Amino acid sequence: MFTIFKDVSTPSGMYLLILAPFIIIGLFAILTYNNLIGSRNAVETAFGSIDAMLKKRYDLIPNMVETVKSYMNHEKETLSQITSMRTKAVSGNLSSDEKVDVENKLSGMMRNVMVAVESYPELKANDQFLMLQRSWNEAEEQISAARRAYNSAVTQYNNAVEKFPSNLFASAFGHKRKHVLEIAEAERQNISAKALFGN
Amino acid sequence: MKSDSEFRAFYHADLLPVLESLEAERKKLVKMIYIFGWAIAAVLMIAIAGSFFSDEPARPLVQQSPDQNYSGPQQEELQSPGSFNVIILIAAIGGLGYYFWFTPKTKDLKRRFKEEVISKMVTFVDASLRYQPNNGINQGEYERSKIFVQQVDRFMCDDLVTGKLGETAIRFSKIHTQRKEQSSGGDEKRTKWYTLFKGIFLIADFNKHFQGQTVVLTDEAESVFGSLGTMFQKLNQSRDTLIKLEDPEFEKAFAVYGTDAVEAHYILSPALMQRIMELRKKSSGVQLSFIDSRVFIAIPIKENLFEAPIFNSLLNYLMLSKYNDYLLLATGIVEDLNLNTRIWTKV
Repeated sequence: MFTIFKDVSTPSGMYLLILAPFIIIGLFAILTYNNLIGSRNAVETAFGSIDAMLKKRYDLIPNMVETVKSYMNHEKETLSQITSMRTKAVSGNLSSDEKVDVENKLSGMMRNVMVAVESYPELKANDQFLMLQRSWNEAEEQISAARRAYNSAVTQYNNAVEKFPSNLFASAFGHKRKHVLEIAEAERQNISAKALFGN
Repeated sequence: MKSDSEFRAFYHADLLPVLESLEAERKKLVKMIYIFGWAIAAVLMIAIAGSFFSDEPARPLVQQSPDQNYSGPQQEELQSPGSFNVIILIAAIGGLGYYFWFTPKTKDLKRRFKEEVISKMVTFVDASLRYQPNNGINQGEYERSKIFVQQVDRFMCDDLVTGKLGETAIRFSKIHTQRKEQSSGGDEKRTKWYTLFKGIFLIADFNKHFQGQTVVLTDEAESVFGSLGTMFQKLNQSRDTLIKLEDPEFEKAFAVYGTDAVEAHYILSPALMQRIMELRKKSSGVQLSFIDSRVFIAIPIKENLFEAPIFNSLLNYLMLSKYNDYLLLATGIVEDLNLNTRIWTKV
């Protein structure tokens, strides 16, 4: 490479010397562009994972409601609300904001049901329910992981958009900062086996 | 987990009688080694002295050619080969004698130390644990862990401990791996051995199901070069994708590579990251991987663990207490990483 610039007295050497900064800037622009596209795709993939994990949890709801309703006499109203919320959530006709709202309500109600289980010792001893509860915990943790992975992807994307010198190209290519998901305080807390199984 | 005072009581009640009997044998063996060594040294001295005072003309090592035109070194310049051969012979007898007579005896003492002392110590930590001094985690499993990707030229393992602590099946052993480097300085080819890993290698059943592979390695690049280090890590071809996690302390200490970012976040929950940070305080240099629904943990340790010293006393409480600490460290990982929490579908 250095030999190219050795003889700048020749016309070709001069041209190369003049072109060098443009070549470097061009290469940098390509790398930055690819990095931005890569980061944006990672954000989209991570967002898709949240949907996939949420669907996994929605699929558990009918079984869960079916198993607990014969035991839980005082929560019949909540259970029917959960069922209708779930139907709404999987219908696919919701806007993003509505989706988040339904999701939050559903999570809150399910959390209440899980707490109420404490008052039903027979239900707590039911093997099918215990397995469903494990699956539920798993789905919850996977959703939380997908959200964290999404936030991590967004942070990396935002870094690429805002940090110098890639920010110079980001605005030129129409890349804008994305928002991270707010994780509810209840989800941040670690799941306690004691609270769940009372052992 | 057993406390220090419990170990002290166990040492005095159960280990000391065995150690005293082994110590008596060790002393006897060392005494014999010294007598043998001194005898060989004395004979050697006599032979060397004899070669100085000998009146006999020295014979050359190679019979000289009767050729009159011989232009090689003169007889006087040659070493005194007769005595030299004798000295070599005595040294060889000494070396072979030690090898054939004392090596089996030292090996036997070391074997008995493991069978009678270490075995008891393992059971003391947890009665369900089983100790096999001559077995270890095999090379296939070591490589499967993907913690170390360098080619292994020499693999050594021993002191396997297996068992189930609560809901969690664990296995750990000592492993020492080395790579060979050959340098050709001049006409000679030199072989040098470099240690890749020496320490305790542990495999435990993980409490969550997962499909992919997540490797948690000590982060040297980021701590030294900051964000530039992250760039280097991304370019690391021998590893999967670099995964960034949200815990800044954890990120500074470890570099995480994996096949699936969501799964890596699922495995490395905020709670587990904190627990790994705590484990790192106890054993610096610890590295982990999560593969086949199992966790692989490599703890580097410089000392030769679980071995009986031959030229030092066996009645060494501090040495055994240290061995006990490492056993507790390895078995304590189940609790440290909360592996007995089985609230997910994996039971």
